[in-house]
Amino acid sequence: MTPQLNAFGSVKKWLFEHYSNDAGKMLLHTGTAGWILSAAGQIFGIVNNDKVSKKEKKFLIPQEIVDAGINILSFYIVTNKIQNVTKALASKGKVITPAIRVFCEKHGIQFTKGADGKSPNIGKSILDKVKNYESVVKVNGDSKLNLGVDEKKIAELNTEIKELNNFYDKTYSPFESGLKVAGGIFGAVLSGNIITPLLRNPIAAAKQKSSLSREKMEHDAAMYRDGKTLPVNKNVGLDAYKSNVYPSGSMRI
Amino acid sequence: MTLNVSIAKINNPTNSAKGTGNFRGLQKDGQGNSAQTFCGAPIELKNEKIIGKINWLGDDFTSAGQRFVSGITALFTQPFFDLNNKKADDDTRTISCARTLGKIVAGTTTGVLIRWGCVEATKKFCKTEATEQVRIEKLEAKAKKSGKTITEKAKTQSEFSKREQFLLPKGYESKSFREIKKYRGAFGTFAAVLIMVVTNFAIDAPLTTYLTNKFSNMLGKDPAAIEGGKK
Repeated sequence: MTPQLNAFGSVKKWLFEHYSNDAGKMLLHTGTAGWILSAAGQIFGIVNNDKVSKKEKKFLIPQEIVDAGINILSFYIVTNKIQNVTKALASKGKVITPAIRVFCEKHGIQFTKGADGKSPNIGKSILDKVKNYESVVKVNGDSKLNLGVDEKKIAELNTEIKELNNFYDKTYSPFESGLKVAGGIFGAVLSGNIITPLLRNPIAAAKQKSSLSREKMEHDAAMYRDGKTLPVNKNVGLDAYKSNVYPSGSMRI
Repeated sequence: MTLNVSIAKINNPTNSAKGTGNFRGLQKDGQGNSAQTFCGAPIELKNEKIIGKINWLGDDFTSAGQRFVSGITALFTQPFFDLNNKKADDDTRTISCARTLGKIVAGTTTGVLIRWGCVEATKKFCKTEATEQVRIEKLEAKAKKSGKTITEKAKTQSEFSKREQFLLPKGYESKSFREIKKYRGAFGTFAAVLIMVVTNFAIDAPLTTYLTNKFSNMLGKDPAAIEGGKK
C-alpha cells in the first residue's frame, strides 16, 4: 500500500475514533476549523489583492488577523463551555427522562448527589458497571482464576451487560449527546451573532479612527514640508505647531 | 486486575441494589444514598416530543444544520449591530450592514450546500450491513405507507465493493449504524471544510461583493460613490 493510502487510512481511523460517539465535539471542532480556514482565506485574499496598496495592506492584514482571532476564540471558548454545561445536565442527572430514571433505579445507578456530596455521572457509571461485569465473566471463565460464580449467575450477568449496553446506546447516549449539541448550537449563535459583533465593531471603529487620524497627520506634515498653506506660520516650531493646530492634549506627534 | 464488584453481592443480591422512593427532595438511589438533591429536584422531561427532538439533535443533527441555524440567526442580529454602531459614520454603517448581509447570505448558502453535499456523498462510500439494514427498513416503511411493494432488488442486501466502502476505515465495517452515521457526518464535514478553502475565493468572495452592492443600493447608498469619495 502506498504511503498516501496509509496516511489516508490513519486519518479515517482517527476521525472514527474521535467523532463516532460525540456529535457535539465534532460540530465544535469542524466549526472552529471552518472559521480558521475562512480567516486564512480572507487574509490570503488581502495579501494577493493587487487593487490594495502596500500601505493599506499594512492596516488591513492586522485588522483581519484580530477579527479572525476574536471570531475563532469566542466561538471555541463560548461554545465549548456551554456544551459542557448542557452535557453535565444529563450526566449529573439534573435533567432526565422517565426512561433514564426508571432504568437507573432498577439497576442501582446513582443519578442524584450522594450524601458525601459526590455528584453522579450516569454515563460513566453505566460504562464502569459494564466493564466490571465483563471482567467478572472473563476472570470466572479462566480455569485457574475461577471465582466460583455459577453458570446461572454468569448468564444473568451477560444479560445485564447486554441491557446496560443497549440502554446506553439507544436511550442515554442520544439524550446526553442531544443536550450537548443543543448547548453547542446556542453557544455558536451567542458567540457568532452577539459576542463577536459586540467586540469587533468598537475595535474596528477605533482602528478606522486611528487610521484616518494618521492619514490627516501625514497629509498636514507633507503640506508643512512643501511650504504650502497651513493654518499656522511655517516658521513656528514643532511645540507651537502642536499647541496651535491640535489643541487637544491627547494628540501626540 | 481489580474487581470493583462484590462477588457476594452477585451471588446474593439484596433489595438495597434497587432504588426506592420518589426523587422529589429527599430520596434514595440505587446506592442506598439518601440525599437532598442539589438545587432542588432534577427536571424530569415527560413530553415525548421534546425528548424525541433532543434525541434527534444527538443522533441526526449535522454540521449543515448547524451552519443553517447560525446563518439564519445572524440575519436577525448582526445587521442591527452594524446599523447602530455609533462609533462609525452614516456611510460606513450602511456599507458595513450591506456587507454583513451579503456575507451572511453568501456564506450560509454555500456553507450549507457544500456541507450537506459532502455528507450525502460520504454515504455512498460508507456502506455496511448496518447501513443497508436501516436503508431497507426505511424503504419498507415508505412502501407500507404508500401501499406499494418494494422490488426484490431493493430488498436484497448486496455485498459491498471496495468503492462502496472506500471511505470507511479498515476493520470498522461491523460497527453500529449509529457510530457509522456520526463518522459519515464528521468525514463529510471535514471534506467540506477543505473544499471551502477553494470556494471561499471562487464563489463566496464574488457572491459577497455582488450581494453587498445589491443590498447597498437597497439601503439607498451607492458603494462605488462612497469609496470614490473616500479615496
